[in-house]
Amino acid sequence: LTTIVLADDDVLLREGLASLLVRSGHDVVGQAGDAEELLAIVRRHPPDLVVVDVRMPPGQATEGLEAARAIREELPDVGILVLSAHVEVEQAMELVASGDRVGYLLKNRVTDVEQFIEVVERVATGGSVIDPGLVQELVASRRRNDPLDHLTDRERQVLALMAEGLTNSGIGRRLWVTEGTVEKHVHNVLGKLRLPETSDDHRRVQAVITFLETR
Amino acid sequence: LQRALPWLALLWPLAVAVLVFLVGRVVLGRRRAERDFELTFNLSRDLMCIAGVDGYYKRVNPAFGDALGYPPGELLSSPMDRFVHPDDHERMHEAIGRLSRGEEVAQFESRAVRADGAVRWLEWSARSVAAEGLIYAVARDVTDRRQTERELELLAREQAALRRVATLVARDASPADVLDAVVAEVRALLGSDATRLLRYDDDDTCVVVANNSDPGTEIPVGTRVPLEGDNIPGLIRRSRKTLRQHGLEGAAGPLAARARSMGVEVAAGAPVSVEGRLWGVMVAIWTRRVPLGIETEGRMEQFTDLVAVAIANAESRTQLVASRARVVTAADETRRRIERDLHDATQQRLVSLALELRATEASIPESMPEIRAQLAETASGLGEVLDEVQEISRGIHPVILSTSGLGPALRTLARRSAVPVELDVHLDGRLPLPVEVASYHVVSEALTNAAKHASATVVHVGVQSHDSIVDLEVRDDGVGGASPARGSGLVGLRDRVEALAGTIDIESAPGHGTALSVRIPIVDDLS
Repeated sequence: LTTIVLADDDVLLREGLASLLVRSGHDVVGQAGDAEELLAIVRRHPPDLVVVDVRMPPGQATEGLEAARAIREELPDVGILVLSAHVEVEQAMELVASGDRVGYLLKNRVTDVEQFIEVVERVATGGSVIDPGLVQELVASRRRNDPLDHLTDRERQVLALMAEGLTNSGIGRRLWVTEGTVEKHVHNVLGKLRLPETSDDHRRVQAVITFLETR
Repeated sequence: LQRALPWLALLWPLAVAVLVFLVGRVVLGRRRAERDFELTFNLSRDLMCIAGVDGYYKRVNPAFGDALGYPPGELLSSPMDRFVHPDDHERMHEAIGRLSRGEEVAQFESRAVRADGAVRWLEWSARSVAAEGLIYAVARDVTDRRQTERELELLAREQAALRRVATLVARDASPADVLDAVVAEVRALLGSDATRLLRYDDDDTCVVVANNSDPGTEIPVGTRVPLEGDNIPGLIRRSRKTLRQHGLEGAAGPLAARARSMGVEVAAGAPVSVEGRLWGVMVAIWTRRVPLGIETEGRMEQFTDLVAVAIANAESRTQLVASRARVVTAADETRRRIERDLHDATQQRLVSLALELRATEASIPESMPEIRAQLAETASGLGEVLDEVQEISRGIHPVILSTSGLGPALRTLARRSAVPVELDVHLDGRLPLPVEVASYHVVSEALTNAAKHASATVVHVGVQSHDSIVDLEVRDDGVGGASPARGSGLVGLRDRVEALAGTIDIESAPGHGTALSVRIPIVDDLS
C-alpha cells in the first residue's frame, strides 16, 4: 500500500485523481491546493509519493517544481511524480538529476489509467520515469552525423524505453521479448553510443536522456 | 639783300606779332588747362589727392575732405596714417613703396576712418612722379558695394548652411546630430561666441540640448537652466517671439548672472515650435558689443524651423515604433492569455472529465460490456482532443519561453526542426519577454522556411547577447533566392523586429543558401 499526497489547484481534477488512485489500491493521505500546503502536509507525515502539478498558485508558473525541489532536499526518501500541462526537457533533466524515485509526465497521461498506475508504482518502488512523448521528441530529433543513425529500428525502440525509465524486464514485457534478448540489445545500443553499462537503472536513464539531449 | 631789307624791316613787327600771338596762345592754353584741372579737381565727386612719399597729403580735393569729414587743413597737417584703418597701415605703406619705385597701383582697396569714427572702404588708383616725389591718387568710396557683396556672400553661406542642415533632416539623421549641426552652422554664420539650443522641460526650467562655443562660454549639454528672471529662454517662453538683449546690467535671475560672468554683451534668441507647441529656444551670444543686423533673428528662425521639422520627424518615428511595439506586445499578450486559458482551464477540465469517465467506466458491472466499451471509447476520444489542445496551444505561445527562457525554447525548436540544426547560443541570463518572443519567432520562421523552401541539409542558428543587443543569425546551405516579397512570413518577422527598434537583413543569393541576420536592442521599457 503506497501512501500518496496530491497537489493540484483544480479540485475536480485532484478528486478525480484521488479516486482513481484509491480504486487502484493506494492510500491518498493528503491533498493540497498549492505548494505551501503541500510542503506543510509532507513535512508533517512524509508519504511514499507526492504527485504534484507544475503550475500552481500564486504565480501559476513553476511553483510545483520548486516544491518538489524543496521536498527532495528535506526528505530525499519521498518519491516525486511531477505532472505538467506541457513537458520540457530541461525540467525532466533537472528532476532526474535530483536522484531516483522521480517521474515527469504530461498531465494528459493520467487519462490512460493503466499506464498511469504503472508509472505511480514504478516511481513508488524506486524507478525513474520520463514522459514517453518527450522521449519520442528527443529520439526523433534530427542531427547531423547522428550517432543514432547506426542503430537498428529495434535498438531505437529499446533506447527510447530505457530513456522512459523502464528496466530490462519492463522493456521485455513491452516488446514481447525475453529479458536476455533485451540485455543483448541494451549492450549493443550502449556500445554503439559509447555509453557506460550500468546496473543502476536510474543512472542509465540519466545517461541516456543527457546523451539524447546533447548528442 | 639790300633790296630785301626794307621788306624785312617791314615784316619784323609782323613776325613779332605772330610770335607774341603764338606764345600768348600757349600761355593761355596752359592757363585754361590749369583752370580746367582746378575745376575738375574741385568739382569731382571722386576723391583726389596729391601725396608726398614723406607720408603727408600735399593737396586733397573737397570731395576727399567731405568723405572723411575733416577740414582740408587737418588732412594736410597730419600724417596720412591717421586717416587709415590701423589694420591697413602695413598694406598702404607697401603700396606707397611700390609707387615710389615707379609702379602703378590700381584697384587697391583700403579702409579709411572718418572723423566720426565710421569706417569707409576706398578703392584707389595711383601713380607717382618720381622726380617730384609726389603721388597722384584718385579714390572711390566702395563701402556700399562691398556691403552688398558681403551680404550676398553671407546669403550664399546661409543658403549653403541651411541646405546642409536640411539634407541631414531629410536623411533622418538622429535629432542630436541635427541639433549639433544647427548650433555649429548658426554660430559660424552669425559670428557669435556661443550658440545653443535649449528644450523647455517644465514651467520653471529648460535643459541645454546642443551647445557650440569656446570653453569660456560653454554651458554643457544636459545642464538644467532655471527660466526665472530676465533671460532669453524665459522671456521667449512668455512671449513666443524672437528677442534680443543688449547689455545685461540690471538683468535679474540666475541665468542672467551666469551670462554676465561670461562677459555676454549681446544675446539673441528664436523660439523652436514643433507642430504648434513651443518646444524650446535657440540662443546666440556675443561677448563683444557687436551691432546686430535687423535680419539676425530672421536668420535664426530659418534654422529653428528645420530643428522643428527634425524633432517632429523623430517624435513621430518614436511614436510609430512605440505603437508598433504596443500592437505586437498586445497580440503576444493575448496569445499568452489564450495559452493559459487552454492549459489551465480547457485542458484541466478535459482531464477531469476523462477521469470521471474512467471512474464511471470502472463502476459499471462486468455484465454490461457494451456500455463499458462505449465509455472507454469516449474516454480515449477525449484523450485525442487533449493531444490536439496540446498541439494548438504550443502553436499559440511557447510556454517554455515564459518558464525557461530563450535558450531552452530554441533547443526545443531545434529538436522539432525537420532540418538538422546546429545551435550556438550565448546568452547572458534572461532577456525581456518581448525580445525573447521576437527572437523565438525569427528562428522558428527561418527553420520552417529552411525545411519548406530551401532544401537545406543543415541550418546554423547563432544567438548572442552583448552590450544590450541581441544578435541572431540563421544560415542554411539550401538553394537561396528567398525574398521578403515572396513570403508573408518574412514580412511578419520584419514587423516584429522593427517594432522592437531592431534591424533585419536577408541575404539569399540563388545557390548560396539563405542567411538571416537580426539585431534587437535589449530594452525593458518600450515606451
